[in-house]
Amino acid sequence: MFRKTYAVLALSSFLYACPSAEPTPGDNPTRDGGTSVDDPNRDGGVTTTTPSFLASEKGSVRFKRNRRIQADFATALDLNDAAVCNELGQYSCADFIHRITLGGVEAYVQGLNEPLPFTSVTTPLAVERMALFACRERVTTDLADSDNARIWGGLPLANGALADVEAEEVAAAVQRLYQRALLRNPTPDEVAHHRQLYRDIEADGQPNAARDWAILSCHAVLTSMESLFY
Amino acid sequence: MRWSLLPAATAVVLLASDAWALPVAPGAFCDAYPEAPTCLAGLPACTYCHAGTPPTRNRFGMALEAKILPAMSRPLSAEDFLGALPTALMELEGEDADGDGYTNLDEILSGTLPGDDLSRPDEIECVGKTGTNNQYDVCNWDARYAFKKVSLDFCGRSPTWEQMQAFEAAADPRAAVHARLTECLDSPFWIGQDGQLWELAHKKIRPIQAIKSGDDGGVIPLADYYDDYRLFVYAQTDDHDARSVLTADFFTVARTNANGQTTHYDVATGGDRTGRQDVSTDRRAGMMTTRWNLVLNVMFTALPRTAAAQAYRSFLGMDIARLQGLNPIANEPVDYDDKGVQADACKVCHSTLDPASYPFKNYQGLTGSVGTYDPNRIEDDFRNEGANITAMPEQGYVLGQPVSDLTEWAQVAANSEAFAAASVMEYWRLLLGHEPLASEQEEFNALWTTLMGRNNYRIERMLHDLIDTEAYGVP
Repeated sequence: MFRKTYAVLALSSFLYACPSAEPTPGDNPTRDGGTSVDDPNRDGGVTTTTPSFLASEKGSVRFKRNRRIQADFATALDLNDAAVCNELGQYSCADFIHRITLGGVEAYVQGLNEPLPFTSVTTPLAVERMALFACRERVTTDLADSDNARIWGGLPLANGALADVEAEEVAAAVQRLYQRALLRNPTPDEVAHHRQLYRDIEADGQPNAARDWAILSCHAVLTSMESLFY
Repeated sequence: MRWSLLPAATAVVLLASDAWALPVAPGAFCDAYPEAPTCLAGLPACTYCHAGTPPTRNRFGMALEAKILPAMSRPLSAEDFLGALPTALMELEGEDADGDGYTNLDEILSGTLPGDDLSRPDEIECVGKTGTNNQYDVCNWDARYAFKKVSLDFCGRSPTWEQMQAFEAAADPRAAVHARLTECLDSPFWIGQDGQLWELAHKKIRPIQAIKSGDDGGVIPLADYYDDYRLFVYAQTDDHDARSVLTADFFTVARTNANGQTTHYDVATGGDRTGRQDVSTDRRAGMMTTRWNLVLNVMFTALPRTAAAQAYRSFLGMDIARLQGLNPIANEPVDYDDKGVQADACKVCHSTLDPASYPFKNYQGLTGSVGTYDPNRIEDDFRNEGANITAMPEQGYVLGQPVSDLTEWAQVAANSEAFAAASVMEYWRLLLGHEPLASEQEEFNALWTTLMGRNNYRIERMLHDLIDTEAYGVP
């Protein structure tokens, strides 16, 4: 199901790595971070552009590591810290199973007194598992009780699909996601990316396209550079 | 000194081809460049002139070696070497040994490594840049950036959207950042068990659960290192003196709220429960004389070199095994325990390490009455450790200064520039993820000198200064 979807997600992640780029006069309004969103059949073809924003000379960002990631996912999705991710439903991803690979330490038994100096090859996998687990929790809860939803409330649903991907409620949900996870509003291009993501998922003929879209939109934002580094 | 280079710096020791023959070199370098950042609170180390393991030299070391009495056969005597070094350094000042575009003198004075082309003076330069950034002011201290960073660094989580909205509306954003810091400095993430301050203490305490006693004890309970953690965190928090890690004659307890979360640390009184601690009050020297530290680092040794070396590493930021912090004492090492440390390859370090270890000699590790001060320890338990073992004095040296016992050792160390710089370096690394860059050196030096002065060794005050630096607050 996710072949095309993942391609779009990859583009989305690239996009989110440069979230500060606001369109400036003369910019192509359909481009942001070098990815095109105006062709629904397109799922590749990254092009590079010079950022239109003033970039930091220091370029010093740090990985949030296990506990901050867990806390931020919990805050963004209004979950208890302990509910963000548990392997087999009982082993904490951040505090136990993926603790070291996510930059944690274990001094008392393993003698690992400091975090590993670099993220490991499995760190992205662990982060994605945490994000997917947490996003699924939030989306499931929100879609089951739309009136009390934190993010995904009020969507125009019909038989598991979005009745109108251009509806204001869709943009409002994406806005809530950005505000809670990235502490800012999405740019128009970013909203367009999320709508395009839905179209790609729907084109795959999935029965619960709206749910899949909500989970993967959440996943894309939570696993962005902007979300994981500071 | 540029503290970041301390680990790297003692290497000037090895300027001559005989790698262990010239421990006087760092001092001579600093006599020539007393204003160099690497000399401000200590001495330079190996990587200043060497690449990897000495005697292999980096490009600066090779250039320098070529200038020092090139016609004389090697190895040079210490006298010849010292006599020629200042002139050789001066002759190299205008050259660029590592080819990074900066002269050796520029690098020496800015605190970068003249033999490493990746280490160079690096000013953040926004002049002439165009464009805007809708998130941050990337050329100046940015309150919004600092607010988020403080929240993550000290509270362990980003602010909520609502908190950011409130911050955006604040009349004085910088004050709001400091208010957030004050709040987070009491957070479980910062002061709680396994919080950030506990993690900072891991390397100093080196816990081993299998031999822990008390809560969460192991199968062979020997000592309770929770006392060590609590004393460390106490010294870093509230209005407590950071030097307590070396000078405290007390232990501390964590106070908790109704949810079981740690709120602050107090000096333990009669009704408080601590681990077993048997060193008499007048012989205590903070974390150096806890039962755990003595069990782990003194163990069964007559001359507790490991204990002294670990104290240098933990509290002075100097790893003697890496030729850092060497202050050779005349006529040392005596080799009271017959370990052969007078060999040339050994005495470079042991002329500093052994005199630093003598003041530990009466503290029992795993011999005698474990974890006590025993003035007859050597005579009673180590008589067979060497012909002169009973002549070993309790008097010793730390940082080149004579001390009569370990409590004086602790006072000298705690009041040193090295201690202040090492204390600030811990937080610099924790919060910025790297050692001070050349462009950050001035701010770093201001932090540790102010810690000794205006901030009166209060870490939380220092942290309020740290978040105001450009190094921390410029995105």
